[in-house]
Amino acid sequence: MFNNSGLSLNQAPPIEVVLRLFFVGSIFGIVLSVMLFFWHTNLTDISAPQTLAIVHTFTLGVMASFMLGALFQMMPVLCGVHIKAPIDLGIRVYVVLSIGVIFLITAFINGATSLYIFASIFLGYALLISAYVMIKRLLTIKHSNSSRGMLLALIALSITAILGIILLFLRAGFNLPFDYLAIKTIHYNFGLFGWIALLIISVAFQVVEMFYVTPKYNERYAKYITIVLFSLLLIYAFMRYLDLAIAIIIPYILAIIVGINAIITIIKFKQKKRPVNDASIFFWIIGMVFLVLCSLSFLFNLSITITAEFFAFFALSIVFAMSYKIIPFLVWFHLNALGYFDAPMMHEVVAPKYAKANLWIYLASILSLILSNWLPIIFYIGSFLLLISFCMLSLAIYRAWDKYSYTLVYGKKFNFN
Amino acid sequence: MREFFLDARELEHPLPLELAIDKLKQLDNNSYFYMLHRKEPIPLLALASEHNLNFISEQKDDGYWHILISPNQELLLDNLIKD
Repeated sequence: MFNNSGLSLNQAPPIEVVLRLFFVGSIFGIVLSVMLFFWHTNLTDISAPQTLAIVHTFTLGVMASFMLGALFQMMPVLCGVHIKAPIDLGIRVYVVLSIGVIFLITAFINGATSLYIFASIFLGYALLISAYVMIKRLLTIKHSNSSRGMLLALIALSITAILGIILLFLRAGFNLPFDYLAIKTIHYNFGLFGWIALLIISVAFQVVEMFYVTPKYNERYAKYITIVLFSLLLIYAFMRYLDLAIAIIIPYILAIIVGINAIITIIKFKQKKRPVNDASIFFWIIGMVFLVLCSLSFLFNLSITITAEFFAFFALSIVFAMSYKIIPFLVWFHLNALGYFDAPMMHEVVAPKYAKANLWIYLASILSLILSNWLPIIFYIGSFLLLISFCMLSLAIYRAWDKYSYTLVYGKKFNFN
Repeated sequence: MREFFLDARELEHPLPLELAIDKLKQLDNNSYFYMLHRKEPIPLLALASEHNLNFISEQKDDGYWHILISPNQELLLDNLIKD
């Protein structure tokens, strides 16, 4: 019975916490597109400063902002977990994270020791404080398959952040007793498989069925897959650091697992019980297709650039999918919860046609970026279309906030009783 | 006593919540809202609680949730649950 669960609307995250992080993420998406437009010729060298700047604008500026925003939203809803002082924490996270990303980009380009130190302080604070607060709360609950995966993804985020800080200190010239290459490999495996992929997989167990009325994932599969993924990452970290040759097998096993999981999710979408055809479902399917392609590309040793592109398109597609579901819902729900009779309906917050237009532009952008591997001139079109996609997303977030604020000032309240 | 019924068992999130709130706005002391759902609709129940509505939610053996909400505090919603 709900009466015993102790949940309340007061525990739902304030709308501004989520929208601010999403807005920051979309602005970094614009920055990312501009960087791609001007620096794409350097991308084949994965250690080049411009490549590192682009990769971290994507993983930290875009992905971390959206994923932390989504966690603020989903933890109370999916896990029944209440985050204390969410507005204060949210502001600290998005301000400090943004400053940290700017320091990091500048550090990669400029190479100054002080910039690396500032970047590690700001990013370390933003990521570790978020992870600490969320992990602490998640350790107190009885876990569902999603919440367990979210907990493991947050632990992976902490490990990624700590290793990242060590790498920044090494790049800054500090003489620390660590093997740079080993730490770097473990850092990006935990970041990509442990934080990004594991979180998306865990959240999918609940939201795919809930949003699109698909059959449920097999209970035992959903329970163990996240534990297996995380355990493999830990084993890999130890083996790689001890320089055991067998460690090289584990990323291949991880790629097979995430690829199979993506195929299972695509099958779930095909089995959906109702003809849901909004933009978000297509973003989800595109994301899963690119995760399969990424796994295949990795397994068959295609170019690292193409594999990385496929992974990025998987992750970005889910960002767009979740944003176009969460943003209108948040505005509509918060206004109704506050009792506004004339709160805009969800389709009035973000028009389905607008989201579909964003879908087509985004699809054109990623296809252009893939084609540009063989026809480089198309890269300019691809990065420009990506820029338009992120501009559209940031505009959707801004308009949603504007409608929310307008209703707060001019809306009429109703009373249920 | 007038019943506003919603079978949300095969509706995608957040359509059940959107339709439910629309029904709640039509309730008076002589009516109640009855919803069937595949999950316990926590945000809806939280909203009912915040607005001091009389409500219950109960999961039956078939796994579906029966949710009843009314502004009438005297109404014994338990008695209105269908098998």
